[in-house]
Amino acid sequence: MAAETASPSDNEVVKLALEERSSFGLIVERYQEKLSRYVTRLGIKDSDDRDDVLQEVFIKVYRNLNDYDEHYSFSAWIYRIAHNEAISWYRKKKVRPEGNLVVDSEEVLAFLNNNEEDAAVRLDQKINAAYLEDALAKLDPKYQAVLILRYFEHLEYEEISDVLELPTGTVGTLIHRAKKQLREALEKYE
Amino acid sequence: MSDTQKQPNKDLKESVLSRLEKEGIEPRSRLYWLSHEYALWGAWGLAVLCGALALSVASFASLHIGYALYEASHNDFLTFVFDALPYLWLVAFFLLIAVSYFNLRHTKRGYRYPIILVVGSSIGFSVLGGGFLHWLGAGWYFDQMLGEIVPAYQSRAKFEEEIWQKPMAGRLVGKVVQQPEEVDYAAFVDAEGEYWRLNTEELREHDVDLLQSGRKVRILAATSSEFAEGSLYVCAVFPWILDHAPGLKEWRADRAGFIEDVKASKEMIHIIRTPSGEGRPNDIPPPEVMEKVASETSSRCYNLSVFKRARPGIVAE
Repeated sequence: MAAETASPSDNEVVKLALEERSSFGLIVERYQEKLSRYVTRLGIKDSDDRDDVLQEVFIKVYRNLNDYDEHYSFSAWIYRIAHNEAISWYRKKKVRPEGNLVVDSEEVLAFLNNNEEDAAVRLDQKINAAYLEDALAKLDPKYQAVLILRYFEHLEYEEISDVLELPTGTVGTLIHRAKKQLREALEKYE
Repeated sequence: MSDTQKQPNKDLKESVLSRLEKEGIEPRSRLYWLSHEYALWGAWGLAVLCGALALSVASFASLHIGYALYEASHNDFLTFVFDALPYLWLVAFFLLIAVSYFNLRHTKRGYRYPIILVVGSSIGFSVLGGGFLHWLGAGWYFDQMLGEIVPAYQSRAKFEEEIWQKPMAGRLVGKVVQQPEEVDYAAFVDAEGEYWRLNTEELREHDVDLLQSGRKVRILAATSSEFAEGSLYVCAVFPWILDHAPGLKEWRADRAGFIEDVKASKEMIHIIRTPSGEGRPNDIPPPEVMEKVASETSSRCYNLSVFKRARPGIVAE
């Protein structure tokens, strides 16, 4: 009876939400934690600010539900709205985003050990989360965003392309450059 | 637990649903998003189409800026090109490419395409469309129409007319209004309605026929204080070709006509030098001798500054 217990897919929830407003609660439940972590990582540290931003994100998601194309990732679509809302929040506040990773040691370890793509980041495992967070915070916001989405939100290149509205090739280039910059920044801590 | 590590607000779902309810927020209709998307694609198509039109006018204007007779209006080819290039249309074309890039980039999946594809496709479609419109003669038509309805716009025909309506420089545009009553003379009215008495004695037969056809023509003439007021000594006649979308054939014919006129002025010297008129081309003396002869003859066209300027290049061809 697995079919009965399996939770509905994102696409199915979207269809339900379009028919019945209360079903939209499922989307909020499913994504509030991920998006909360993401906007925090983008630097919105204050919980009240974060709640305000998240509420706006979900209101926009609901209002724009018909714009979602089921052929693409819903996750990337909702992350894009959250990303844009966070950027708008920064613009309104006139402050520069400062990354705040909210990482646990496992995540940091996974990131440090990650040797995919060109293995541009070959880091000593002695480097701790605090150093990494500090180094990431000093990166250009566009580099921060790609690294956060790739290594902390675990999105695929195509999804990152959808979130940041960039060509997939550009995402690859940005990740490569971001890792190079990060490596250089971390060398100072060695 | 630090502030940044707090769990997300557990009431978020309730607050979002209650706000949706209270403010009566509904998802925007599918039609809204579709029309938004179609508007962007439509704006892209329109920008590409306008780009094509701009390119067709630019190509028409570039191909018909009077390369054939540039020696007649400018000191050298470079100053002529700088003066005559259709900057307005070239700028319009590149602006429209930027607009089409912006529109395509903002379509639902526009960001996924590499910049080279977005810009390349916009330029590519504009070039294809521009080529097709040029082939149809739309460039000339659009340029002409704008020239008629927008006073500030200088159409190619207006530009050409301005260049050729310079009596003091020996250039005129207009037509013969009266069949000559005396041999080697014609009554001519220029683009500004001024009347002129033209001496046509050194004209080639072909040019005389063209002049006397009564069609609008451009003429190159020698000017001198020796002439009576309102008189000109005509050395070459060219048809006015901007009353339709001219083809390269007419452009080439214009050039060929000019070369013939320059050469004819040289041959005229030779004939003057050998009164019997039996000279053969091989007998044409070297330029320095011809210059001397010219100064001693009554040939005004040989000494026409336009011909003098063009002669070295044309003789070398």
